[in-house]
Amino acid sequence: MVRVVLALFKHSNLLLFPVDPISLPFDLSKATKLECAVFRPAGSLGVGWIAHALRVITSKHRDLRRISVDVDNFWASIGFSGDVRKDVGEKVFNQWLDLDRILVHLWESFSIPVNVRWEEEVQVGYVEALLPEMTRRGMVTADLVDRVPESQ
Amino acid sequence: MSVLPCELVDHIIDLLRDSQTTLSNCCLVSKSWVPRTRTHLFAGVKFRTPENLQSWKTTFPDPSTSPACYTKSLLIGCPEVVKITDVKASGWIGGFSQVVHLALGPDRFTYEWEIAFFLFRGFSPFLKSLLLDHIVSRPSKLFDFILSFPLLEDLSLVNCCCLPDNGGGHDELPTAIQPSSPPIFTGTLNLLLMKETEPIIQRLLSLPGGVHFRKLDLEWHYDNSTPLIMALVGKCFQSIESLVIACRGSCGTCII
Repeated sequence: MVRVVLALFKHSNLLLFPVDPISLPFDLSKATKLECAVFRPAGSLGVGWIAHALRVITSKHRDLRRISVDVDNFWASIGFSGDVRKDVGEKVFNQWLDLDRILVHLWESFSIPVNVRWEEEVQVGYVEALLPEMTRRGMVTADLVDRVPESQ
Repeated sequence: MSVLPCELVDHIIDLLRDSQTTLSNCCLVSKSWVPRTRTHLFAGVKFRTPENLQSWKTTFPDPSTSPACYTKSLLIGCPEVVKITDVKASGWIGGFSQVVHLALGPDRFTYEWEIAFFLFRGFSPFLKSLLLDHIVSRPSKLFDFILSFPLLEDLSLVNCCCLPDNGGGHDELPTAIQPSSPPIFTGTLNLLLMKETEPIIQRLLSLPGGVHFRKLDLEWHYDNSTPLIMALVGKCFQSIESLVIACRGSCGTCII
């Protein structure tokens, strides 16, 4: 049913983004052997859980060589009004900005390569508004997200 | 042929491992070449359909002389057709006792039958990697099957669906005897977590020796599974080297 409704509103800005249902953080503070972390958030949900998970990354994670956030094509399916804050809602918008800051911090403070990958079809305006610092530094790539499991 | 040291012959055959036709021809050259060529020819066996399986049984009716012992990677896409007679002394399953990688699962879901996991239980003591796809089973039976491979390192559970265990609401316990040393799971966990898969993961988390996966590739669709996913990550914090985590949310998370 929801899918049908979503299709009806595909090109409208009436979507209200829900509160991030994942309120509990993933604790990566002790995962100091971590070498690679890839997050794939659901398009309609917030990214607060990713920010929570990355906030505890410190210099102790000295093996960490890659952090990547892969964003699916949900963002390509919603209309872009020009006011991203309004489109996605205040809470989700702030979560993205928070994530943007954390990713930049990880790159600058610990030299951990970070990258955000979007589907090509997503409006550039969304990317620039949600990840301003990452975009400015050229750390956002618009390519089709590779769905092959990273573990292979 | 005998003037060549057997190590050299083996090396030459190894270099031909990607050419099935050449290997097949090599098999006909000399009896002494047969074992090495079979090592490559039958390294990976796939039974995608019941016809494939029947063809194998017809071609190699005697498991003791079949090339199954050379197989390292086995895919059974039609586990529903496996019968009790396939497990007995004259059955074909026992021949695959050297399998290291096993993929089990049909092409699609069907609730009409459950896989009789006990038929495959511990059939290869060397199994290190297990992929279960489109599996419908009772958690106790499925978990009992998983634990029957003491060297198991990698586990993939994709599109698996648990049926309620028998027992009238009691917590399900594995019915078969557990191996003395359950696998410690030090490889990769590839998991598509749905509500129906939760009982298996709960059992995995409750293993006395814990789990020590180095790679976690997790995807879940059900919001209430979040604590379970977090517990899984938390259990592996000392060993984890690679984490791929995808949240798909549930249908109800988009509100108009």
